[in-house]
Amino acid sequence: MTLPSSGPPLDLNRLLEVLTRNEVDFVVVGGSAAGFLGASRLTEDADCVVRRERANLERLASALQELHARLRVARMSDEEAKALPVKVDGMMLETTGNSTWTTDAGPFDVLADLKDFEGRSVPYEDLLTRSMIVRGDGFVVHVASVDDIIAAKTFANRDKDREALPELLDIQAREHSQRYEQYESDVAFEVHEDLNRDIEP
Amino acid sequence: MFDTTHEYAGVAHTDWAPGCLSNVSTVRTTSRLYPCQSASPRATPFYNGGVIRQRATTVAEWAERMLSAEPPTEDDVTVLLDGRRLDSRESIEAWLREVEALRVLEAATHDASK
Repeated sequence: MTLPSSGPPLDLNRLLEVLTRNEVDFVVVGGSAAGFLGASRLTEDADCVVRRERANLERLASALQELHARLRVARMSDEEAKALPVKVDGMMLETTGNSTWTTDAGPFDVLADLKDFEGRSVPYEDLLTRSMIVRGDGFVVHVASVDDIIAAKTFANRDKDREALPELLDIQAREHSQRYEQYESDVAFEVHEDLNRDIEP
Repeated sequence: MFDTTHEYAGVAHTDWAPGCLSNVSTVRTTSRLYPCQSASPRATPFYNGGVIRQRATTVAEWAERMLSAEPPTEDDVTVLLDGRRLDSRESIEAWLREVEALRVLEAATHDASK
């Protein structure tokens, strides 16, 4: 069942541009990240894992204020949510694990972490080491690896996650295949170099 | 045609990647080796953007398509660090009162430390 609120549709370019301009440390995860990796399934919101450091949360709060963010709440319209006395700041964000927002750039979810296959927490720092940078018009963002996205969706195991998994597994298989081909190419190159060295006078 | 730049373990590599993400360049930033990777500085990056090349749309196209995505579902709600779900007006108002109390406490602690 979808929410009754009817906020603006997702404007990913604007959302990422505002986060980048406010120097927020974050990794794009979920369906938006899958789209950057080549998945075709549409996502209904943008999900980001943020660095859980107070200064970064303050920068995130500034970005959310700029986007006129209001909490997204089940059974509550966007107009009702706007009327809530919510003051977005680092302190408030520090108390939340996952927070769901309606912004002028569409639905936006801020996550404290992702889960691995076993449900263990994978924090921002770990996601960052495996991420890919995507540069667009006005933004540069880190996008979570397909492995991390698959693990999180496998653990979440909701209908929409199960629907997204086959395509993600296909993308992962292609990526692994390319890594293996690259590995074989590297080995062949190194053996060739060693042979050349041996026969040089 | 457009240019993508890949970087792996400090080795930058640029190539042409026709047909994908026309206004985007990608950079692999992982700093550790995967089992099937070579540590050789001569090695080209293991990720060459092929997946994106095969599947892709531009960022602009992807963003445009997402304008028509369905709105979020009811299971997407704010969850506090202690596990409470903010799925009603009452739960939100209780949480906002707690946050306000924390702000007052932090301000008092800050003033006392001056």
